[in-house]
Amino acid sequence: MSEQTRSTQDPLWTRVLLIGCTVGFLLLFLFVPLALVFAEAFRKGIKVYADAVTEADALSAIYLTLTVALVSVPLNAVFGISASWAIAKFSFKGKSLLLSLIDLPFAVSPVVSGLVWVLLFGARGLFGPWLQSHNLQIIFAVPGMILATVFVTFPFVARELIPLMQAQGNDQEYAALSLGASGWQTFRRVTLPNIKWALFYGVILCNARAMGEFGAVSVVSGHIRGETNTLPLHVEVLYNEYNSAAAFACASILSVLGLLTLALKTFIEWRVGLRRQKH
Amino acid sequence: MSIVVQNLRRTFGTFQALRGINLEIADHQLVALLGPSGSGKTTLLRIIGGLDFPDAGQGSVVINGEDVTERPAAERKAGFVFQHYALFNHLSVFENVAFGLEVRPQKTRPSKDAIRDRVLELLRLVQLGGLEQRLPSELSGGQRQRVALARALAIDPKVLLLDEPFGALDAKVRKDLRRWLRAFHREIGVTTIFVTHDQQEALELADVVVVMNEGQIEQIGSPQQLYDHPATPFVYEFLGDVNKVRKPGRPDVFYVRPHEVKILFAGDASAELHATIEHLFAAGPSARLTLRIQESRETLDADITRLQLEEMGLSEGDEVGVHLTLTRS
Amino acid sequence: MQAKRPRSILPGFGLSLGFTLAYLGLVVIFPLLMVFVKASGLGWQGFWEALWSNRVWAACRLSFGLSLFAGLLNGVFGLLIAWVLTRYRFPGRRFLDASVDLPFAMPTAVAGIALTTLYAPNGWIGALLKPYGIKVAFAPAGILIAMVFIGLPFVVRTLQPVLEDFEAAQEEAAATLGATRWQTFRRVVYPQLVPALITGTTLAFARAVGEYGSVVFIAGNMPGKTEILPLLIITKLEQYDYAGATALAAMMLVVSFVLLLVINFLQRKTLVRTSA
Repeated sequence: MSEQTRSTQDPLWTRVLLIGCTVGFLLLFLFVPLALVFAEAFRKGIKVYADAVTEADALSAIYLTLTVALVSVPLNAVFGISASWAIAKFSFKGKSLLLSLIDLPFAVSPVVSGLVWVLLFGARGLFGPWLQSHNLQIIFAVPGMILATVFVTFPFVARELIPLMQAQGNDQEYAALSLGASGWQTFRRVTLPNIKWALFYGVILCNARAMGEFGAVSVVSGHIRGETNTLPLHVEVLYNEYNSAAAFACASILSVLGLLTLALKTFIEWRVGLRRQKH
Repeated sequence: MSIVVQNLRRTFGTFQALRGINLEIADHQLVALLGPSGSGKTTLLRIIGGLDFPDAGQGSVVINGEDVTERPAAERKAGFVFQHYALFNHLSVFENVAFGLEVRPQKTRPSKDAIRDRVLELLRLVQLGGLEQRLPSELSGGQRQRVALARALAIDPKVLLLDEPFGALDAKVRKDLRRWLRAFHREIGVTTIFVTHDQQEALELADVVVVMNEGQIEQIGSPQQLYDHPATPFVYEFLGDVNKVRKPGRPDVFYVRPHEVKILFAGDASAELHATIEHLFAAGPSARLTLRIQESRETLDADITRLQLEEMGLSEGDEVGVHLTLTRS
Repeated sequence: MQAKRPRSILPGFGLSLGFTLAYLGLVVIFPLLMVFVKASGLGWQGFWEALWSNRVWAACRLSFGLSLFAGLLNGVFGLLIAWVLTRYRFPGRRFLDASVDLPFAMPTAVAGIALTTLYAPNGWIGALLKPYGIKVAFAPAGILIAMVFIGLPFVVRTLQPVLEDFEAAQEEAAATLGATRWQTFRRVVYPQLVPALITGTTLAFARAVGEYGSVVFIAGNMPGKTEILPLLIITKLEQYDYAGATALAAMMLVVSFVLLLVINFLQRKTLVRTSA
């Protein structure tokens, strides 16, 4: 129990003061900006809001955001499962190095995350001439944005699964194998159900970041309206044109995404907490 | 320092941990609060120490004439030794023991030298001299326990409270520390109360044993009194092995200790019952027989000396006569 | 990386490790290496030339300096918030606890324009500060606020488990020894929180240094005054100064790696220390 018992309780005035400071801080830094997004989005009325989010460029931005997420998230999920299986179920040298490398994208600035792809596939990049001669476009096109997003959201699923699978151990899988199950059957029927909440959790975090990523895709996108603007980039364009109502209208959609992610996250934590109690 | 507890009640939600405790502890005594888990003994200890408080208006704690019921731990000068020691992991042994002296307000705080002398003296007293720079993580369980004790003693407590002090230690270390604590208490003389669920420990160590069960006191007395004259069936059963036997023709149940069961030859006329030896255990100072009584089909445990075992030439499967001495219902 | 023959009977080692390494190599290692390859292509001379300018220097001072300050602020407030959320019970606590992750879940650009609009001279808060001559948006203060915003969850979430698992008996022991609550916090609890606090602050710092979306709108981006490093890289790219951009990126990567090593080291140390 982490809450205070009567013998170790802070005095009332301390509690009131600290709770007050906390609420004040969170209000100022989190809730007021959030409220502002919605206030500004609807400031010019519902019609302006509706127009802003159904306008052609906005729709293609939404579509592009969804496409990028739809490709990057499953890819990173598969990677996450593969990496956690290798790391949690086997012992081999270099494991901690591997773990640090997986964490790498977390430490790298989003701008640098986009830059690396420009250096590889940009017009003056390593593969630039080769791509040009084959009439392939990666930078300033959707493939580049997918690559940048994959890079940035790379660790999310793995980071959720690895500690969990390490803590769960291998006993159940051994049992399944000894009963005659194949590797795939073991994975599908034994491992997967045990990690499903962590997997779900990692996927929604990965998705939130994938849809909301700005810096990395900004570098590789070229900002071509209607073609290579994801929703966050579209928001930037609108904002820079001083079309703040439309910008915030689109931003509110992204905010709802963020809030939904938080709600799902809380739900999963509650469910996992319940399950742990049952054991 | 005498302690008087009156009508103490403590409820946690719907669970009644203490249902009206009345207790008087005289100065210099070494008292054991003995009972099974959930009996309320730790709760009682914590309330005496100021780490918990009775339900509103439900009872009082008076230490040496002063009503301290509502006073928090920091004001009670009750030294508390926790079950898992609760040493400050980031501080050395010296700093742990000195803690109580260093947090005193400016006015009552001793000088640095005085603190130093006192700490080193205490460490010598608990036989940990030379270890003052070690960290808790570098000590064994028994050593940590003694640091916790020294730390509690540093504040010159009116009463020393120990919560299952030997619970987390190996059997051998437990035995050694028990012996040590008894001698230690005789030397320093502070009123000491310790909580345990181990009846052996309570009977061996304490001057006075308080047997508790389900939030109430079953009996208070010296170890001898409790063992020889238990007031309730619970006390009788808790303080040692017990047989419950029915004599043929009588409906009531008798309580007999294994060593009060007299084993006779099968044909002996004074045998009240006849039994077969189902199991014989002789790897110890005495022999334990598990008997199946022919008249009632019940089992009975009997302790006899190894000498008697050899003289009677008993082995498993033999038939014997049983006479019950000193029966009690 | 050498993989030993696994002593496990579970299948799929080759497949999973192989795929993992291939994916990791292609998506992460190889691209990152390219930065260093290209940077080295400049030669030491070219590398230093690209970095050694007033503009770069100002951006470095701004980014690192403000990130450090923001990290420290996050340390203080993060400790406060973590304490309140783990130790006290009050209505709305669970809601507040969940909301701490908002900066983490919110797209950075959204945060960026929201904060800018909020603190602009005609914004809700900006307008309140204007009469006092306090300029937040398009000034270093604005950058600081954005950095505090995004770093907040790191400190709180790093401290919470440590506070939750903290041995309550130690605080009770301190009480029985006569310590006040403040003394107990200062002498017993806080020293044992320091490793986690440093870890969280370093994480917040690392995040703030590289952050783009939340910061770039409110920053104002005046070269030499309010231009952050990530933006400088983008500007150089747009001007086709690939050499400059690469050199800066390489420098930032080195800083990132060092920070990552420090954080991993600290996290391991925390685990060791608390298992007494």
